[in-house]
Amino acid sequence: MSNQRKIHPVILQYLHDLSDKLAYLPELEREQSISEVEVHLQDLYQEKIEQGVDIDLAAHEIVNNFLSVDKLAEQITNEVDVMQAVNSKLSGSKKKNNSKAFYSLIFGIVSIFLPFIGVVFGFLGVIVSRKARKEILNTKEPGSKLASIGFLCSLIGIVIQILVIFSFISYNFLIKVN
Amino acid sequence: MNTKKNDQWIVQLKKGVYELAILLLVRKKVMYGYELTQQLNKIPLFTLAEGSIYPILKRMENKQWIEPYWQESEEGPSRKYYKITKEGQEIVKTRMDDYKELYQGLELMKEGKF
Repeated sequence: MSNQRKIHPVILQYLHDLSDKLAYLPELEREQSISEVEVHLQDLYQEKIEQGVDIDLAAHEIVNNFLSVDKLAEQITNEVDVMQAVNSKLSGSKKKNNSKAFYSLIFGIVSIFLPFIGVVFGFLGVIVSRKARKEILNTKEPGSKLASIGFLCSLIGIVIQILVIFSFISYNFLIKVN
Repeated sequence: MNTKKNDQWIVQLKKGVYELAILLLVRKKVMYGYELTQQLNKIPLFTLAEGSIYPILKRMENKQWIEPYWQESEEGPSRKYYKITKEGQEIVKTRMDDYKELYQGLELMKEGKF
């Protein structure tokens, strides 16, 4: 939950209750549901405040008019359960990592071990891992660690390959001179 | 008794078209839950209790008709925006056709041309 905007205690209570009721959902699923409802409640609250309604009255009215914690939790849980059953049937119960994060790691490893051309893979790895990070930020899917390792490996690969290229050129130069 | 029956009919009818209405809204512009509820509440027949949209959105997300993404907001926590998927576009097309057919059928029956 974010603290960027002050949350009225009544609204906070609703969110806490909802969080308790959704306790057995996967953590990510629960967090996402709570922040989605938080945005909604806060927007309604802001709207009431702008209309000049007293803050306590506004918070109470909003929570009273909102779907009750029990009902909302029950309905969300029903939908999530169905989704998980479908997902686990399709691809195992774990959520998949971001695919770009995976590719960035592959490029990173290749860049370390493949002489000369590895430098190209290193740059590709850097670009792909940055794209992966952006995607992960938007979709909140797993894979941020993978993207970071991919980024690091790609950087190491670039440095190693530049050194390899440099030594190769220097070696050839020295042989010519001798 | 009559009004009660009538109300129940509207409830059932509304249930059937919420998903389609949401698809039509996110087809034009990406929206988040609060915005969608505001838009739906503009039409009296579509009035939706605050908060009830989330289970519907979750269901539509599971069916992959809409795709969510999170976007930072200056005014507070990140918002979960929804955009329509290719599958969602196809659903809009077929369902709108179905509704047209259904309505035209009723009109024909009303006019006694059936």
